[in-house]
Amino acid sequence: MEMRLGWLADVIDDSPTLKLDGQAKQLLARGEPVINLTVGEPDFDTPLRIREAAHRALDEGGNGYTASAGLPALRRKVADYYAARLGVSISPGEVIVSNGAKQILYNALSILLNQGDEVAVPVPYWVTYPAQIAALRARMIPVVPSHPGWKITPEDLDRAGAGRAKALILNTPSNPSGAVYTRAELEALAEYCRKTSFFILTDEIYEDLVYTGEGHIPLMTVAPDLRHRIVTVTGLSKSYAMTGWRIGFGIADEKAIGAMTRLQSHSTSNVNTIAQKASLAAFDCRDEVEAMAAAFRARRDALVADLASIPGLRFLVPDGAFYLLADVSGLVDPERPVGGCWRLAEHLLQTEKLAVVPGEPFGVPNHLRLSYAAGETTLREAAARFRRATATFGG
Amino acid sequence: MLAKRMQRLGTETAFVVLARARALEAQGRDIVHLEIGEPDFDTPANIVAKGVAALQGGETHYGPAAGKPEVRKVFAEYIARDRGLDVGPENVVVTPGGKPIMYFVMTALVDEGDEVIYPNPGFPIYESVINFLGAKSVPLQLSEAKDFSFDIADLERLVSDRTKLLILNSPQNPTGGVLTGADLDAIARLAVKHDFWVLSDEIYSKIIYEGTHESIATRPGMLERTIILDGHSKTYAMTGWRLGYGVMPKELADAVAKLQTNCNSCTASFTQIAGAEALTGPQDAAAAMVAEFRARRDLLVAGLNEIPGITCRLPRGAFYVFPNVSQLGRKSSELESLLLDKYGVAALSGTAFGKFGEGYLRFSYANSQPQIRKALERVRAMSADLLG
Repeated sequence: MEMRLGWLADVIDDSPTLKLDGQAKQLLARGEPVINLTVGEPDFDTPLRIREAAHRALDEGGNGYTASAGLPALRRKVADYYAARLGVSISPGEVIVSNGAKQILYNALSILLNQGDEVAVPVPYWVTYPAQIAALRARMIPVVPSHPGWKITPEDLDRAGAGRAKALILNTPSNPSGAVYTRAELEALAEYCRKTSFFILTDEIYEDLVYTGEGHIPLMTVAPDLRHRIVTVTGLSKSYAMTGWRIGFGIADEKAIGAMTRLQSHSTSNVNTIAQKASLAAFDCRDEVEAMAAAFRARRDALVADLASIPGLRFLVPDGAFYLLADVSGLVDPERPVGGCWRLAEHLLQTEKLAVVPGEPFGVPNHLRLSYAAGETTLREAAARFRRATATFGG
Repeated sequence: MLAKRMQRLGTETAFVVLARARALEAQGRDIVHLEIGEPDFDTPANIVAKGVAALQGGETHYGPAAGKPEVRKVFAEYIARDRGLDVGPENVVVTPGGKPIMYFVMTALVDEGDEVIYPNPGFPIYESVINFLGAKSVPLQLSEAKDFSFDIADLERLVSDRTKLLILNSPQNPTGGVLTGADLDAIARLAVKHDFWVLSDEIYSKIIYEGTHESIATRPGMLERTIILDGHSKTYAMTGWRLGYGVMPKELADAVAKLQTNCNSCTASFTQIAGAEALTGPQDAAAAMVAEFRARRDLLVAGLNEIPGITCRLPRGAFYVFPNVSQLGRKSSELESLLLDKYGVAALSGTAFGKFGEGYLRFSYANSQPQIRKALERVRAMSADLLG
């Protein structure tokens, strides 16, 4: 029988980052000494106290369905914790718990976008944004930063025509660039937003992994007056090394949360009850979070130091998350610039068993994304392999 | 502000009634809960122990979108053995609960304007997701006179050249009906003839009181056009763990996994490990639950049939009864409210499961026998008051 899939099945692509990850895993399975810098998750274990809380929940039983929007105690805890962090009062009714930040984004875009609506997205972007936008038959307006630093300005938004969009996605700290917006930069963007009516989805999942003196600035703290148009997207995956638990939080207007909850009650129901109960212990683990953030910072410094002297490689020191986005156009044959980052990524994997992600799916051809969620020794070896591979790369 | 598709989204009334019941309890009222489709048992100890060991062993990271390879293998082997089908790990997608299989499969298969035939009365999420996706929902009436099944001619009349998918659910929520082998033969012939897909919701496959469950995928030409939905919530009392899976042709499985990659990444890792244990470990706890469900079913059905104005068929599967209450002279939705507000029994109007549920109530017997006895007394009191 000929398979007749719907329209959507053709539009949504595999996350390309996962494809290379698969190739790397095949090499690993054959026993090849691959260094994998493609991964988007902390290599640490979940803090013990959280795992113990899950253990207790399992022992106690009573782990049936919760309300679709989440365990009331967890919604209250999230509301209280983020009220302090975002500097506004938050009620539990303004919080939803989903299967990771990704589902928060999908829920939010699903309730907002009609077919043909537009969403402004700064370049470079996390690959999931364009995929979800396409899935909803909406259109992405890429907003390209005009200044170095991977951060957009009001002028960039204006030039891209973002004013006509239904929503804007911001992401600080950024995957893949590691860029972190300062308070002044966010204030300028907020001023632009005040002149529009669009919703702002602010993806702050890497909020605890910031290495600047100023630290992470939540959008809400600079624009509390826009709170009815802001959806804060966050969760426990990156800060607490809980990727496999699938816990994301959305904070928004009660009406938006209500609509997201209705959708979620159809698509997945509540999130894993045991994981929700364990999450109640997460906010007591701030020491562990800070220790992990300090380790990421040290790793970043090690990687930056080793990559800095590789000829043809250019990059900005990332201020947050655990990614470094390197411009490799100096290594690519100028006669055939198209696909250069894919050729280099493949060359790195084949000759030096070093797995990285090409920048093209993130909207930045001729770049590579390196994850530094790996130990310092591994990162030093990775940099040495990168250096050797560039010497043999034909462009 | 909201997208237009949100207006097409319905609701699952069970959770609404549960919330109302909880509010009454907060005021000090005693409520018997027969509204929610959730086993009252705890998850069997061997499964819990495996979940704990997984967490201690560092199963806290992302896994592949389609599920952990070793878990897909266990699920495929189980379905191959249990249903007698030639399927492998590549056919399996693991999801947080059974609902994502409905949602992702329909999203992957159905375009705007396509038609989807679904059982009515039936699980309300089917109709709601069909409408949400902009497809046309075509209700297939299940009638009491036909033991909550349908004649094949009823189904054939609903098939058009836009029919993309038929949803089956056996054992069925809310009626407890079970499709016979002959039903499956006839439906399969129709599906092949008219070239449509079948989403076979088999979440209650192990909660069956006569004979054994059969999947339509076993019929000629069906494996390539069937999506089997199964999961652990009901059989292993694992509702809160959120573990379901679909078994389907590889090309569709790849598309569904892609959707999951983009919507929620993957299913919680420790839950998947525990779910593999559920299928490979001892089954006596699951069997004991079914035995208890059977005793409750018999108690509830016998009790309801003694109440004037109510008749109730003996369901062959799942843990619901769907008594005919039309002789009580009130609309089902009124009876739902009356029963909760005045008599302290939370049950659902048959219309929560579609328009053809008028004249019926649904009681879930995922509650203890003493609670069921108490509910029966209260329903009897309502009947006496209404019939004077």
